[in-house]
Amino acid sequence: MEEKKLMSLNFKSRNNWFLENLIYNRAFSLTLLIIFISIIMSVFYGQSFLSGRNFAALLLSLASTGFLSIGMMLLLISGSFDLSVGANLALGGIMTVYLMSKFTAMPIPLAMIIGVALSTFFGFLNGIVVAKIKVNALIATFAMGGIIRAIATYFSGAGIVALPPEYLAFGQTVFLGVQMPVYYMIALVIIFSFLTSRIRYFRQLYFIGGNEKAAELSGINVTKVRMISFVIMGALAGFAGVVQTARLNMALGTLATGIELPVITAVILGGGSIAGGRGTIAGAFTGALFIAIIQNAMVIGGINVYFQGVVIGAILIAAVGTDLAILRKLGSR
Amino acid sequence: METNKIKISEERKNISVRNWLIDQIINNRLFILSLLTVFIFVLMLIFRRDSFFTYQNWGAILLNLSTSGMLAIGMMFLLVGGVFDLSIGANLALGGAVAAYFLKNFTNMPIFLSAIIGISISAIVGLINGLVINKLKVNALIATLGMMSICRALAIIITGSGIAGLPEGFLAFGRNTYFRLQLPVYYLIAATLIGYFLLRKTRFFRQLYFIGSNEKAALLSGINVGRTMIVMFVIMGALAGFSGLMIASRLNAAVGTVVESINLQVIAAIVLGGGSLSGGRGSILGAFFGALFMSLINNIMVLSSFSIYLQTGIIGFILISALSLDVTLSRKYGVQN
Repeated sequence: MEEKKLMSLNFKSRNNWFLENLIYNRAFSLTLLIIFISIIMSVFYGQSFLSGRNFAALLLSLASTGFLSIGMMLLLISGSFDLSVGANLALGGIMTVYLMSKFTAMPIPLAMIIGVALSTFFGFLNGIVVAKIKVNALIATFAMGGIIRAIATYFSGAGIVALPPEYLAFGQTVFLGVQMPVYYMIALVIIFSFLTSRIRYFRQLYFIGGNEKAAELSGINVTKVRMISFVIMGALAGFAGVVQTARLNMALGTLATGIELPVITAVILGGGSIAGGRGTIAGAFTGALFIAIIQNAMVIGGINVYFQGVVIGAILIAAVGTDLAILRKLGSR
Repeated sequence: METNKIKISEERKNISVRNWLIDQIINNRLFILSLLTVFIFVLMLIFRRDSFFTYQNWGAILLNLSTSGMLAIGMMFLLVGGVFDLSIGANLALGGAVAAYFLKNFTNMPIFLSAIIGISISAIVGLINGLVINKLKVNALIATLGMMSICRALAIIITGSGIAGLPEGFLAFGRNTYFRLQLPVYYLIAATLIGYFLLRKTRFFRQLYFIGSNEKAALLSGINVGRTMIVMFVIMGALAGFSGLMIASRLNAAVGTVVESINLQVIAAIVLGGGSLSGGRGSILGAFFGALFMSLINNIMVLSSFSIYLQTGIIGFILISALSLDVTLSRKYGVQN
């Protein structure tokens, strides 16, 4: 509300919807940027960019980062972090695939449920260490990521391939010309956007992120709310792992290594702040989409794989820097 | 809620073993570390007498220690001041990569100059870290996380598939042996002594304790927080670059993916050595002995043929256990300085 009042002071008109949304609605400005970049890519790299195969590749990278961005945004809103999501994703996918290959009689949905449950369990462990014991979130999840990665590598061995076709159908079916993971992601985005705006639990995340002491004093069970957000993150990571292994038709121990960087960049671009208390699910999704398009553009443009890491890292630092600069400008009025 | 402070001096006769132990864990970290180290030695005497107590094995331990120890010293300065640097491994690789590139491609340049250039690049990375964190006020972990990918990527780009065949003079830098000990060990001892002296006796470095405990109060009492922290980041970068040179000299090659898992080991080392994640606590001796302990653990795992993933997992487990123990005990029993 205060922001809108300042807006009207600045722009001499209360009805300046476009500018208002451009600055304050991160999802909106990102969508414009995405359209802009898509137009440029279509003009200069028409054949490669606008092909069905390219969109499939684009959506594949979006599938994993998108799922993780939703969970990470929830964590960021409440003021925590999770650097173990890549390892957790790998563990969920690998455990599912391992069970299917080891126990061929096991029904596939059961294997999937167990895989996701395992990831959820490690999300729960993260929650205990960070929310209950109150160890620094970044270091604790960084260390937990190492532990989870060790377990995932143990089960994957040299890699598991040749998965049953019914499982592959889960991730590879094409419906109306668009692949299944897109539908999963759209469904998740809609569900979580709805949840965050209506359900009390999710609104509590904002309060905790804004001022933890005040939230605690006003009766919110901070520990429980935080733990649930870590559990959700674990479940989403597991689900993303299942989708990813179904799409790739293989499970390697190194799956999703280093995915934390693009995910955190996506979430920060989408409006999340390290200090907590800000951000929307729609923003997280568009942030992930933006990162996916940038990565896609870099691949088409033939940029060295390792240099892409430099670009993403630079975008992260730039995004956080400008985020803080804008926050300080707003706060100083 | 009153915290249960333990007053050893007054209740010496009435301290139970449990309370004494807790007090030692919180306040006298070096003692506990020494106990654990002795315990490990005893275990090794029993289970691996032949493989552990050889000159070769100790050489390997000391070499691992010379890298992680040097990084731990730099990181301890930062931790006492209340921040972190996740980019040390990548910075190390970058320093080594740049030096190797100059050594290989500019053979008429004096070796010393190429080495200096390598260390300077790492120091500049440290400078950028410091500026981004202190001037732009970006969260230290995020900034160094981003910088880590940038440095790692640059190191890999520069070295390609690896730069090998470095000049003789450079190899001497890391491989010469004096009194049966390799040079890197001497570098580490020198760094430890210098670091110990700086943190204990010089005002500039002692300010770190104030900055780490309460940054606002430190700022208000006239300490130039920004400048001090930037200097610390530059030192960290320089130490990382130096370690990178050492490793390149020992391997006779510079590979972009070198020491990818050292971050966790160094963090575990300084936490075990008494550093607190919230800043304001820690010592150089603690960093040294913590690094020694972690190098021993590392050595045991390698001797037992643990995979690199299992090693990282175990280090992670040690770190989480140490942190959980530290946080829980400090909260329950109070902290004495």
